[in-house]
Amino acid sequence: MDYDVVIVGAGISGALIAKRLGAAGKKVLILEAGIDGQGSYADDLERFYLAQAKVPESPYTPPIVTADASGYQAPSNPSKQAAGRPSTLTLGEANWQDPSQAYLDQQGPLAFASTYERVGGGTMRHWLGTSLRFVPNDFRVKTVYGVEEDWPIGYDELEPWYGEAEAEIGVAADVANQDYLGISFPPDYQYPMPAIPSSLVDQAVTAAMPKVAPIEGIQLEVTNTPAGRNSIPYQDRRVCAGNTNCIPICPIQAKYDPTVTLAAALQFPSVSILYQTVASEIVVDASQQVTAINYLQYTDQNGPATGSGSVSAKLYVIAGHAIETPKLLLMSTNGGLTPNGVANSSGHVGQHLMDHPIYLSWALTESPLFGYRGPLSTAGIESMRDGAFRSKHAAFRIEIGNEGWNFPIGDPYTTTLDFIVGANASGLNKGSKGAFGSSLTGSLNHALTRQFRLGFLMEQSPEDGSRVGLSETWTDSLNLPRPQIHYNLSHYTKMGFVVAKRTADQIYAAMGATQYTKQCTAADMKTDPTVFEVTYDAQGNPAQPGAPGSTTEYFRFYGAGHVVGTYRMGTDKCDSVVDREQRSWDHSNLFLVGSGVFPTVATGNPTLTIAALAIWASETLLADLG
Amino acid sequence: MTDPVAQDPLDQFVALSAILTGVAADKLHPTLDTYGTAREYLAYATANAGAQFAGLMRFYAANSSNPDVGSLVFNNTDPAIAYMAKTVMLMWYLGAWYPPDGLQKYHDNPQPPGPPFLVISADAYTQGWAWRVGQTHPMGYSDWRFGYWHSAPPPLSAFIGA
Amino acid sequence: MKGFVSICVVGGALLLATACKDNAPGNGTAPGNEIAAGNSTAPAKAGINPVVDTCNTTLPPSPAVVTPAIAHSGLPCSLAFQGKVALEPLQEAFDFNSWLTFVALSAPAGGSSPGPDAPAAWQGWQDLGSLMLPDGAAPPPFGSSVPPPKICTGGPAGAPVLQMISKTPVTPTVSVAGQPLNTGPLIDQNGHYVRYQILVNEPMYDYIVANHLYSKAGQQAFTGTIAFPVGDTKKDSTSGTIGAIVVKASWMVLGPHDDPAKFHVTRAYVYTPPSTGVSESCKTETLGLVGIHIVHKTAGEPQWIWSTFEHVDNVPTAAKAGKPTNAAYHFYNPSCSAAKCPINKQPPQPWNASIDPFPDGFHSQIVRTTKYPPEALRSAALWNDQFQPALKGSVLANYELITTQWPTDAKNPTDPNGAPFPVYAANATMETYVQGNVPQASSSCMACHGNATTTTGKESDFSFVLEKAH
Repeated sequence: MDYDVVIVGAGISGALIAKRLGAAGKKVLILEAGIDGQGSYADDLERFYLAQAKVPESPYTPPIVTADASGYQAPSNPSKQAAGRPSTLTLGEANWQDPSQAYLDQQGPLAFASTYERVGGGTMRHWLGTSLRFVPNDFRVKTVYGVEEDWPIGYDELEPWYGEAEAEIGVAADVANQDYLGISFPPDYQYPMPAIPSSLVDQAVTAAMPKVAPIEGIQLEVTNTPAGRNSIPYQDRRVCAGNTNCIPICPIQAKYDPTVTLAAALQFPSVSILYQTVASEIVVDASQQVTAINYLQYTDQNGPATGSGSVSAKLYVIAGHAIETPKLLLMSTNGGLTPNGVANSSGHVGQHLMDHPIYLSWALTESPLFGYRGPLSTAGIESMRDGAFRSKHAAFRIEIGNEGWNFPIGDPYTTTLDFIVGANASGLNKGSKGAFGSSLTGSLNHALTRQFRLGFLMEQSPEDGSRVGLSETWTDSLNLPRPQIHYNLSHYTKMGFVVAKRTADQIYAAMGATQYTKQCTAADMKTDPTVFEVTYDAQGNPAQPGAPGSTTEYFRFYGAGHVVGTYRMGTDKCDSVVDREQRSWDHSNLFLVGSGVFPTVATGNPTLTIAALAIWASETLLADLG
Repeated sequence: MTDPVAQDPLDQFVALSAILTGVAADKLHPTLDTYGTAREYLAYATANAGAQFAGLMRFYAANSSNPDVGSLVFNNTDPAIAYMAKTVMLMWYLGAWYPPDGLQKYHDNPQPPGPPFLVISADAYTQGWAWRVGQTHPMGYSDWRFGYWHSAPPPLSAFIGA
Repeated sequence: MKGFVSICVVGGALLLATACKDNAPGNGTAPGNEIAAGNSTAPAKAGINPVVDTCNTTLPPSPAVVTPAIAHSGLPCSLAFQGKVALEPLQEAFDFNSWLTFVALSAPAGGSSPGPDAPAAWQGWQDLGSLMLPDGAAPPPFGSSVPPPKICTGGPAGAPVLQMISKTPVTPTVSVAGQPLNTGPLIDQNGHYVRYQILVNEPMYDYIVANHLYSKAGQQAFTGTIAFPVGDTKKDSTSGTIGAIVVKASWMVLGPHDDPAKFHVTRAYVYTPPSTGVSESCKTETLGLVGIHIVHKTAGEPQWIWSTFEHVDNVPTAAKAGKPTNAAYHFYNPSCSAAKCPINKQPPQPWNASIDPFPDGFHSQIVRTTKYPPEALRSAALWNDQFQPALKGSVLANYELITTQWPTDAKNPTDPNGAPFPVYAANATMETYVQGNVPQASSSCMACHGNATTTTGKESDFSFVLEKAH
């Protein structure tokens, strides 16, 4: 055995586990497909500043765009990348199924709209910072509401690990306003740092809450969002300066990212890492034990494999996130010994791909509320994360955006162009006249200072149809198959959008704000793989379009970047991939960690739960190692 | 008014930019200009739209003593002048180079994703005026202190000058 | 309003020890009042920042000829400037001010300069390790140190303890290096870790002690605005106040090929505390100064004046690197290829400062990559070319000014950093891995220090010293 543990993936799970094992003197090797994220920070930030499309993936490598001779950027070709990944630039009709632009081989019917990174520090490099605990009912929706699945663990068991995760990441919040919907804390528990101050946008929404009639019996309230973002100096990092850029990259690392934990892990002499090292097969022997991980290495991010190797350990941890992990498991056929892939006797590897599809709405207030300031989000409305309605339609949380209309329409670019060029793509320049001088500054100031948006993160129910597989024809430059995706949304999920829209309408009305959310149509659905149709009767049950008493609505959804479900934990080895310890049912020395273990996407952003589970898993690994 | 022919090209460029953008000249180009943005933009426009940009500056110089010179430039019926002016404005507003013909096409048919552009430089992005006109800072570049977002920003006049 | 009016401080107001300076409106640290001009809200307590009559008011000579007498003319209390308000003349004034300051502070305390190399006045200031004590206790009197760790023996009395392996100290019991964004320590051509010190002068020390800012509890109890005392000079006089000055120094262990006569030298304990996987160690060494930051707060520059010097043999510029040369550098090997010695890359982890030399023969390969504007380059060259010959015979002639960063618009209502110039500034020994010209990622003294706070998150007047309290 070369090592005690080999970990595939240097994201949040891999870094946390490596740090814990290193502190205990265990010999750990991390295999990371991407490049060293710490040394490249300046390059990443420069790439961001120069990006023509400042999407979540824009700072990171391999670059999602390639410039032509004149400097104009267009999507890079994933077939030519050694460790590519999806980008939000390839979700349009023209390119979502184009192998020379889109990394994922998307089979539809809807486009999977979320992305991830393959780089030191992982996807969490570009997270917002939202560090919410799940609510207790999130773990038992099947028992309580008769829908979806139960988790094999509950809130009370996970609670201590939430506390550890909050300390590792450095979460800023005030316990006094976080104990809603059954969330509980140990007596005298304190978050590591004081809460991040609310924004003026938060204050404006809060002021309107008393005027919003209850939604399905629930009174809406604004709650400060716990965040992995410094409100005091922490881990030798500075406090937040409100760069309003958490996604995609905090310029001063006031927002936690896993390179912090990775650097701490690598300070232990027994922990080492190989970058630009792509795990290509998990080797399993006849006794169903993992015996090695084979890997390919590359020197040029757009080049072929330049090396290969194999490494053995007592225990193996796959922490490659929820699409690359099932891809690796499915690729590992061991010459026919594991024809359906490793850890897949259940057939559930890759199944139940889920996200928080987002219903995005946006409005203009009467008085300025000064968006584009502070962290991207500092508060939300958590009230609709639980309730009796969950037996009928998806729950959701509402994220209050501090960044004006940047997310919905790419502002201030669109509105600035409108006012200068003389157009009305934003809806704010009726008459489409151009302006200059004080007329321009007056109009633009009026518009930008009154813009804000609400995002409704929908709990997508697990469906067997939404799944990750292996593309039959699309490969990367290492000649490994790219992931193939089937994706759809259930009626249960879609009805959440219906309620979300009603909720948004009511909030804007209570605020006296004019809504500018673009309504989608049947024509949109034909051309946009992120637009869906939902038809329902008076009870909210599915109905046929055109049937008497039915209503049909069209919605565009966005990805939240919350990719979960594809190697879920459970109590039954026939319909789950890992047990409650995140250990593979099939191979006792193999652990699968990360958001792929989630049986449901629940209602909070997944990061804190991923971190809590990873820390818990490291205790299991240490116990196994003895 | 100083003789426009004798005026330094940089000062001329800044004067026209102030009229068009609505931002005071001494904010665009302070006496102590730490970023040298005005010089950067003048050089960039000259390098990337040489003849058309020269035409704009000549027209401005010839009309600079006219109190309506802003409108004469911005609303000029010759698109070469009108759209070159808009390109200049967008350099200041977004730190980006939007070629004039792309702007004209967008005006005639404003479809997403918008007209093509290049970010002039990382520093130029951080000095964009659209954000300051919104009484804020570019996303990804804040000089401000923790918690500033909890209270109202300075007034617009503090950002763009008198 | 054009120009920069408040720069002309020959003629600035005198700050009397017993007078209260008015607080400028909008100067609070309440969230949202992000524009701090840095004036004190606490009445200047008697004894903090006393009036002196030794302020050096020498104007930058024009033409720029520096005699030894000018070079040793003493410590300026504030900037001396006359003339056209423009970048280059002002940069020259600040750079001249930086040299005068460096020479004055390098003279022995109470001694005269020039003279043979001797401990500098600043070396008698309060070291961070004797200011922020592990239990939040009040520090010992100014100029005195806590006893060295028990393992450190055999060195001269009063030998400093050099524990820091980067310019940002981490908590005394943890050795992980902390350059901004955690990018790592600097390893010289003999495989030794460069060591760092942070020291504060007496006015700054007195302000911290008087306001109990040396502990978390004291910082929690402090309700005012943090505003360190300022240097200022009375009009037409050499009477004034010195104000707060911070020094950050980087030291290199002198190896067999290093000539001590070319360095400002110290004899010190090179100490590494124990942590997981790292054993405690202490060795008495002779080290040479390779870099120094001098940061001075003045009435005209409430965002402080940031001067940085390096030993002339540290690293090549980007233009020189890669060209054949016989020159020997402290942190660059001209005969090592870019493939074998990647430039400006941090050492491989783990960074265990008790393992000496650094394993596998690793040496840092550092090049100066921050691009400076022509005004800053010309000005630094102008004064280096004058001061170095004027200091002939002194070890100080082996040092060069890299640049001075200063606020061009201290009262800017929308930029609390005061529009610094040059925009980017870095010392190759201290901001080694964050050199360059990428906004926020690349070193700018004021842009980074503007984010400094106390342990409670309160703005701390551009100093990270306070966040190190326990």
